[in-house]
Amino acid sequence: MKTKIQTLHSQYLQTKRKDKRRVISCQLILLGLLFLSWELFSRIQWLDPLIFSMPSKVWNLMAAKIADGTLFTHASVTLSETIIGFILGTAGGTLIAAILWWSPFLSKVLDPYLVVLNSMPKVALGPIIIVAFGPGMTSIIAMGALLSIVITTLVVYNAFRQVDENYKKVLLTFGASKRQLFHYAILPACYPTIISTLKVNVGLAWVGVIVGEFLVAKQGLGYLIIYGFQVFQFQQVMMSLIVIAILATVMYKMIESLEKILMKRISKY
Amino acid sequence: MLSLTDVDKVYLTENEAVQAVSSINLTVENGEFVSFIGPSGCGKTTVLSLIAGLFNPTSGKILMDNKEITGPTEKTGYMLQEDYLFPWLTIQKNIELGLIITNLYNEQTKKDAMTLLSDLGLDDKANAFPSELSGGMRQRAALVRMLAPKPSLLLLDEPFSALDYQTKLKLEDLVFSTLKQQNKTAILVTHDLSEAIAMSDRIFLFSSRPGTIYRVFDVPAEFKDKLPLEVRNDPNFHLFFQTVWKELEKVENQNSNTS
Ligand SMILES: Nc1ncnc2c1ncn2[C@@H]1O[C@H](COP(=O)(O)OP(=O)(O)OP(=O)(O)O)[C@@H](O)[C@H]1O
Ligand SMILES: [Mg+2]
Repeated sequence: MKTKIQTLHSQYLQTKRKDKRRVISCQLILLGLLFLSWELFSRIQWLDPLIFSMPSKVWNLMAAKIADGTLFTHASVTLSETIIGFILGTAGGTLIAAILWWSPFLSKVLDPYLVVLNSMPKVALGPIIIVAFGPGMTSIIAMGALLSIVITTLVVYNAFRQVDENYKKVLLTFGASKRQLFHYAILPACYPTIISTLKVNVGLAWVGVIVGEFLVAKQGLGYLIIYGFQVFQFQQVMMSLIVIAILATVMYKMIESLEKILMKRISKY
Repeated sequence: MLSLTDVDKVYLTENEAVQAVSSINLTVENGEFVSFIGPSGCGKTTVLSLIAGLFNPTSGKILMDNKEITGPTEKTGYMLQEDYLFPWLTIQKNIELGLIITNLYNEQTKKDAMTLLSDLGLDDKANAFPSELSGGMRQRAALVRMLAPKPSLLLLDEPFSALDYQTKLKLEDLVFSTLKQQNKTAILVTHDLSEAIAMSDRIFLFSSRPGTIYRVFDVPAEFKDKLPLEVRNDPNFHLFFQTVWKELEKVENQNSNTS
């Protein structure tokens, strides 16, 4: 009986593995086809090679840029701007949420401003930010942070307010101060919410940084795109897009696993 | 000794001012165990919160050992209907939190708390998280958390009502003997008349709108030193139950007539 169940289980695992292999090979074939047809259609002029370039040329360009080290410089500039903007947005949003929680009066006063800021397309503020912070890296980081800070503030502040009154009551009966309430009940109860904003914020930070680089940068992947566009070098645009796609995906996946680790640590409940 | 004199509490909200309780006069002797019973909304929780110092009465005086209560102190412990253990802390850390906030955290109090934890049969659960415990265990852990700072007055707001019947009976005995042994003063709020009779020395029956004390019952002397379960099985239990029940019905009827 037992062996029968075991064979059933191993069969089940085998079909699952087979299934997974099939999915992955289809994904790879699709990717290959995509690049292959891109190359082919460009060569036979179905796609305008001037605009869409072709993988082989993009690849040559990328190899050259990797070799002379410029790609690495541009990519690392953009990447660090994104990471800093993302961290500032998340931490700043959480900090503002804490201040709002601390002072109900302030939160009432600021409420309409937050609503306006949240509904506003924040990239429209780009020129103002550049004027305020100067045409450089600071502005770009500010753009990255700005996009996520408002939504983080709203989401986290809401979570702070929705913490069960009874957890506060438990601490209050021991004579807890407001600071202790925040430290021991409010903040830890909201860790899951804060962590879940990370994933959203990393995407927003990319948007902010690339737009920022469009506007002012002398370096970075956004700069490569806009420069390539202006001088009609579409290989460079395509190459930058591919690099951004890879980096953004890797970063998203890293945040996702970080989220999983953190959640596991705090979600024994 | 705890005493309340002419205590009133009015809740102010945007829509109305609710007179939650009015003219509450009562005293509780040291070491005494009393119960509050009465229809829902008659102000039992309000009175407990006032005694805990969570907010101040609109008028009247609340004295504990001849000192006016103006805020929460480590002298009172409060236990809620549900355990409200912090899910992200282990049982031990949950218990220590009360000590930290009352500024009583040291090796001695920590050790005493762990001893109490094992007295209540939870020594192997110190490093477990609340979600890994049953409802009864969690309520016991919450009891230890409340008792760790060694309060002299305990306020219990329906602490057994979320438990199944068997667990509730066992826990009643356990809480009763633990509190008697440490000679604590206790006020229990409950919807269960049998529980009030089984556990307490006196029963305060509240009526509502506004909440006030309607009658006070002395529980027969022969019940006082017995464990709650023994009291429930006492041949005279039913007689006393009937007496209080009649009054309770009167209050409930009066309540439904006016609303
Ligand atoms: N924070 C509050 N704001 C306004 N009104 C309140 C508040 N808390 C309680 N009340 C009102 O005061 C009255 C007494 O409430 P309380 O919670 O003390 O009753 P209770 O006897 O504990 O009821 P239950 O048995 O249902 O727990 C009720 O009419 C309730 O609506
Ligand atoms: Mg109540």
